[in-house]
Amino acid sequence: MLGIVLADSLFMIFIFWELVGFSSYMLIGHYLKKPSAAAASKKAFIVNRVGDFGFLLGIILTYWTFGTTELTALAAAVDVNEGTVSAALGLLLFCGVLGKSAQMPLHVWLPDAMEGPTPISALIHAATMVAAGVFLLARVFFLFTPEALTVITWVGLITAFSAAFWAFAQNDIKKILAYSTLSQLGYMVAAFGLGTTYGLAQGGDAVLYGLGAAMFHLTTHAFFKALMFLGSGSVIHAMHHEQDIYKMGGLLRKMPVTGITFLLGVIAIAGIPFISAGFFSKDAILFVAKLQSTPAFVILVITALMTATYMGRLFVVAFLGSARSEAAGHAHESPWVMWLPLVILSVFAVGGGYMVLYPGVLHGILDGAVLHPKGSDKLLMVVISIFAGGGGLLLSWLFYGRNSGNTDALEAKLPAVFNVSRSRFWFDELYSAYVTKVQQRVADLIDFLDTLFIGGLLVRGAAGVAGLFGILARSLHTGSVSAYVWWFFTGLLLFLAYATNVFSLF
Amino acid sequence: MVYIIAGRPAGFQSLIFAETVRQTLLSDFARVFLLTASILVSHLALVFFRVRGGVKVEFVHIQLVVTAAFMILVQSHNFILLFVALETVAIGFYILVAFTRKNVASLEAGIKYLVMGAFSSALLLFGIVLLFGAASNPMLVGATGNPLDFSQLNAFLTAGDELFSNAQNPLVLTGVVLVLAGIAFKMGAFPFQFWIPDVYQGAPSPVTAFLAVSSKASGFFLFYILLTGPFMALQAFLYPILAVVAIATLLFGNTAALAQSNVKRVMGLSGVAHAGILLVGFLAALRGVDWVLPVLFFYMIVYAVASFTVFQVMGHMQSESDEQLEIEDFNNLLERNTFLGSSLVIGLGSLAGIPPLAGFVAKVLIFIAAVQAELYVILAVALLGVVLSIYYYFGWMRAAVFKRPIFDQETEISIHAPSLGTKLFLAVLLAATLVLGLYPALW
Amino acid sequence: MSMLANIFTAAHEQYPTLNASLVLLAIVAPLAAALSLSVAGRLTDGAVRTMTVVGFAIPALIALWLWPSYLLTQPDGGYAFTSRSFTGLQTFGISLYLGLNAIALPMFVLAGLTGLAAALYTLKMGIDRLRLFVVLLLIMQSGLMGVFASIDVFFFYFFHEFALIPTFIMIAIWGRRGRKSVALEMTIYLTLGAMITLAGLLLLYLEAGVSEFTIPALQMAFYEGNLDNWIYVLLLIGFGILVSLFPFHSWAPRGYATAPAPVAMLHAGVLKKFGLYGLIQIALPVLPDAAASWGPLLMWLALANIVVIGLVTVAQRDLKLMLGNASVMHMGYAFLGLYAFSVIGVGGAILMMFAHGLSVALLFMLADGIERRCGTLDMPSMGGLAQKAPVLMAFFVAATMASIGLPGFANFWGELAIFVSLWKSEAPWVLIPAILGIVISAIYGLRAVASIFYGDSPAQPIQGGDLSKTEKLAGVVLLVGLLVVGFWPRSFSDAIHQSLVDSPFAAYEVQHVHTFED
Repeated sequence: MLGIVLADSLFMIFIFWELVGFSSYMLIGHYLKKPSAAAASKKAFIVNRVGDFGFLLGIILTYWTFGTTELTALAAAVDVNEGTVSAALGLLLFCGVLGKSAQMPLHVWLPDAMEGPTPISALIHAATMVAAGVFLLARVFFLFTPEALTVITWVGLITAFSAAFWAFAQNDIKKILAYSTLSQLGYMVAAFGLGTTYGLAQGGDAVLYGLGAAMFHLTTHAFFKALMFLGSGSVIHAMHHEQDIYKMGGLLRKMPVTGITFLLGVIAIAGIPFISAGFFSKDAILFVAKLQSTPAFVILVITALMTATYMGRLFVVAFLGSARSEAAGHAHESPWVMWLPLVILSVFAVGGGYMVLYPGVLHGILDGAVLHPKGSDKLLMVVISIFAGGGGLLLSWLFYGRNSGNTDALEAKLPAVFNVSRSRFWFDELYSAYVTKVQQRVADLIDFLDTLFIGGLLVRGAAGVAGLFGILARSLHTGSVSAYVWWFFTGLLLFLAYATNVFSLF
Repeated sequence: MVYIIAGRPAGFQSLIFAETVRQTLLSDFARVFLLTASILVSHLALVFFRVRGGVKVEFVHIQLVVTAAFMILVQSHNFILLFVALETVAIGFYILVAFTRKNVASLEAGIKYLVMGAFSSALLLFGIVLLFGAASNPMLVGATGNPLDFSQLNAFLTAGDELFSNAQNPLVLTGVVLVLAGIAFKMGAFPFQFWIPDVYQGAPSPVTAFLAVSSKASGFFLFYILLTGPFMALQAFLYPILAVVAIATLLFGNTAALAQSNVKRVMGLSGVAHAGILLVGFLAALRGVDWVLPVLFFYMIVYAVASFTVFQVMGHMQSESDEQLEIEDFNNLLERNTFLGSSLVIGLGSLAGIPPLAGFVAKVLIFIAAVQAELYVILAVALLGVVLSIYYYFGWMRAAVFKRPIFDQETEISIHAPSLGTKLFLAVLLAATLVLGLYPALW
Repeated sequence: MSMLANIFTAAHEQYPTLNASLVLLAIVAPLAAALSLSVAGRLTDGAVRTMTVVGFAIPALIALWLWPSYLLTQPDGGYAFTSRSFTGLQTFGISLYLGLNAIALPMFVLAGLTGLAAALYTLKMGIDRLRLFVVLLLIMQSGLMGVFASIDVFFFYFFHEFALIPTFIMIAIWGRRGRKSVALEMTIYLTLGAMITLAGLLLLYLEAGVSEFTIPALQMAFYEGNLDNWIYVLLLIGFGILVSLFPFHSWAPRGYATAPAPVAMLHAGVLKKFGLYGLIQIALPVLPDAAASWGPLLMWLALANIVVIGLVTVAQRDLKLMLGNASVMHMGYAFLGLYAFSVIGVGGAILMMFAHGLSVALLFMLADGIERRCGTLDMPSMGGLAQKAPVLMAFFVAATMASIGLPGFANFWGELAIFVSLWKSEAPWVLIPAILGIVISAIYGLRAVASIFYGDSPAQPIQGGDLSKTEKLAGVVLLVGLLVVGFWPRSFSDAIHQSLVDSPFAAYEVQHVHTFED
């Protein structure tokens, strides 16, 4: 991961990119006894490979277009020669991001990757793997054309919205967090697309807006998502490896530190103004979106609302109310080694949005790149944030808070919506149908044809023909002398015919 | 004798006995070759009779007569002498093939060989008569008083102008073709090879080896002597027919051997294929690639050495009867008798043309010659033949190294352990195969 | 570091013939070991084992010694450490002319390392009639070292056949079910390839009209005649059969699946590279025009190797069959490198050959270990091996990752260079199916890992524990080779580049590219 950050060449980035993929493969597959871990790790690696497929193509295209893959040289080359960048190039590079940052339609590996140990999940989701994708965008932002950026924006938007929607039907605490990560990544990608498009139109340093917003959100998201993952780890530990939120309940009282820090995380991701890091970064994104594209803005606001709602759902169901199971009743606070990091992270989750907290240099960079709303816009943005974040949390409390049973309120009231959400738009089904029905069958068919035609007809066939001739030749040896004499005679006649020039008559 | 030959200058030749015998380096080589082969055959016979019992003395007597006839044959410079020597050889072989007279198969083989041999001799003689008639016809240019002499015949055939040369005389051509057919019978070239499997199978193993090596080789020597001697003027005429024969021989020998399971038949038919390869070299020589002639003789040596190796191993297999030795009888030979097993593998490997064995170098050199002579089609057929030959040679080899399931052990035939002398004998053959392969400079 | 470098250069300067004799020794030593093992009388098991290790260690160590020696003394990538001995065929321009250039060097090292690993594994796999097996394996090793050290084309061919025959015998004796027919089928098929190759080589030799039958002489000749297309096709098909180019591949998976592991290691790992090596050293430089005009055919066949055989691989349930198919598939990449017809493409193909050799040998070795532990090769009925043999798993995952082309392993550089070169080939779209191939290989590779090592209760009980020390050593030998070149590809690539840039074929390429741009 450090390699990706430090590398200055696309080839080098690709190398470390792959190594990150490999290590996450090993980490996700850590539980050797679980076949599901094997499947998840395999899926993660292969899906990433699909993304890398495009990424590598993009790198090679870059290499042949510019003759180099050094990022600084590339930037210079693009500056000098504006027309050289093609949409295809940017989109191919973006394929890598699709895989690593789990954007649609390559998002399927990320929720499954929860099979790994919780610290691994936190690492992958909050810091390394997924960040790599957004980080890559930031490194190569100058290689994207507006067309490419539009595609990127919409991929991000769809991912953000869909993942948020799917999170409603999840009961596994880690899965909910996983979908929320997906959704937030979509946010970042959309932010990048919108901001850079906007910046390109504005010219000058404004191109950095997109990358600034995305990176800013990436940073704040890292804080609160890590916080929530560790929090969930603490919960799971307390619950003796029970991850279903409908088996929890009332945990706030049992484990106050975990509960409160978790709440801070929820507030952060919901983006409640001023007391959360998420507000500032989300705010920057929404503002850019508002400037650039209204539909995008609307979708993002709705997504923000949904985010707050499903996170509220998680908190309400797991931490409030009464215990829904035996284990939840006996849960107790984790030891301090577990909650101390929570507290530290929660500080960042609350205050991470304030620029002053960052060291000088970083501050300088982000400050210039992040577009902050000014004046009346600022007020509007705050209102929107309160509406989306506060409204969402309130909604979730109203909707889920009164239900103490083991069933989901949405499932009970709007089963149709719940089922659609649960289906995750049938991506997994589609892919697994592809793998088992299409890919495997095509493979089997080709294997069969290969065996039949090449191994069979071509090779065995040739051998068979030779053998047939052999049998034919053998059958000429009848053992009868007169037959041999006749053969002898025939040969002789042919010789004589040749000698007496008979053949020339024909 | 080797000493005498070594001292002879290049291009040496001497005509003796009223010019009926012509000694050249080639005939010297042929004599050494045939003599050595006969010694090897008699050793084979010793082993054979030790394993199976039977009278040896008479066998050696006849063999000596045949050998002597061979020696004269390859030095003959006159058709009369040639025919007499050839007939002596043939009659000797009629007896040898039917030597194990209590064995029906041997007798049957003898009859077959007799009939076929007589037929071919008759044709040969007929051809000689036609040539005699044509060459002594005073109406023709260059008619000669002694047309059976090779030099005279050559002079006759080259005589004449372009419009009316003796080399175009139908009578002459018919005679030449008949003579060559008689010799092709000895070599086992298509379509005069049909007798081979039956006779090889029925004949006692040493005789089979004798036929496969000496008789075949003498056919080639004769072929060479005639084509570079009296029939020199007809090379261009004979070239197409020889090309067709070579292709047919290669194809037929290899494909027919594919379907065989009796080892002697395999040896016989693969011998046909080897004759085909020799013919390829011969054709290259006709197309002006001179250096291939020594290579052809090298090939004969290699073939002989490898064949004798294989026949030696066969001689130690105590199958029920001599002619019923199947490839499967060699199963697991490598483990049962490592020495015989590895000898067989090396012998077959050399026949198949596998480096570092001598057969490989010999084949490659002939192929180089074929390329140089631009005989592309024939070369392709020859290469295909090599691929096919892998099937039966390696199939045999595979039997020798393959481990059979234990319950089949009962059907295994017993193996006569080779004596120390035989081992030494075989070791020399193997060493020759290896050394000639790695370091052909010795030749 | 420079101290170490001094040793190699000083040795080379002070004893100029030392390295040349070492090349010869690398061929003779295994042969001598084989000979002494076969003629010696009764020997203790220990003596046989010692002899084996010595016979294989010598070539490996020589290869490892020559590697830096070459890099330090031969910056131009040309032939070095040459020696010539006459065998009586010099009138035909044939002599035992040995030496290494930058293209032969990786193959030479590959042969040395793989041979050592195969030998170590042989000692550990508990084979019966060990002595005979070892003798045959030593003969094979001698041939392998000889193939890549031969400058003379006759001996190049000679050593290949020489190594092929022990393969046949070993499969026939020690192979698994179906060995009887497989051994013969494979040998006939390969002989067919060898014969076609031979025809092509002989034609080339005589048509080019050079005075000696050596690679440099042929390269200088730069044959331009009306037969060049035919000769190239002969070489392409002949060599192609030997490298299992589609559709001549059917011998390979079954052959490798049936062969005893050390044979599969040496054949799939090393001997098979003969064909590609021949194409690179002989066919491409001498017949560039023909190579260019047959490029499209090669491209389609190579793509078929990758995509068709890739899918066939996905369909396999049997581990060794899967590996056999996978090795066929990866040869497609090397062929694509040749198709790209550029310094970087061909260089990538050479790196690929080296890397694939080591990784496939490692995979075959481990697959055999897995078979012995699980009692089956049917992947769906395996499982849970990771708990019993974690080190085995680590090696297997590493080898799988290497063959998928994970950075850090040598394979990556080969694939990358080939991909980069493809973009500049005449059909850049080929890149798409080519890269798709690495997704396919990830699918079957990881599926194998998942079904063998993960899970809890396999259908077949697992016998035996983790890898033994010797097996680990064998694995390490191969893996270190992959990693060294993976992390430091310049250990080969600079010299290869020099060698290719100097070759007549690159001069052609420059011309060619120019005409393209004009």
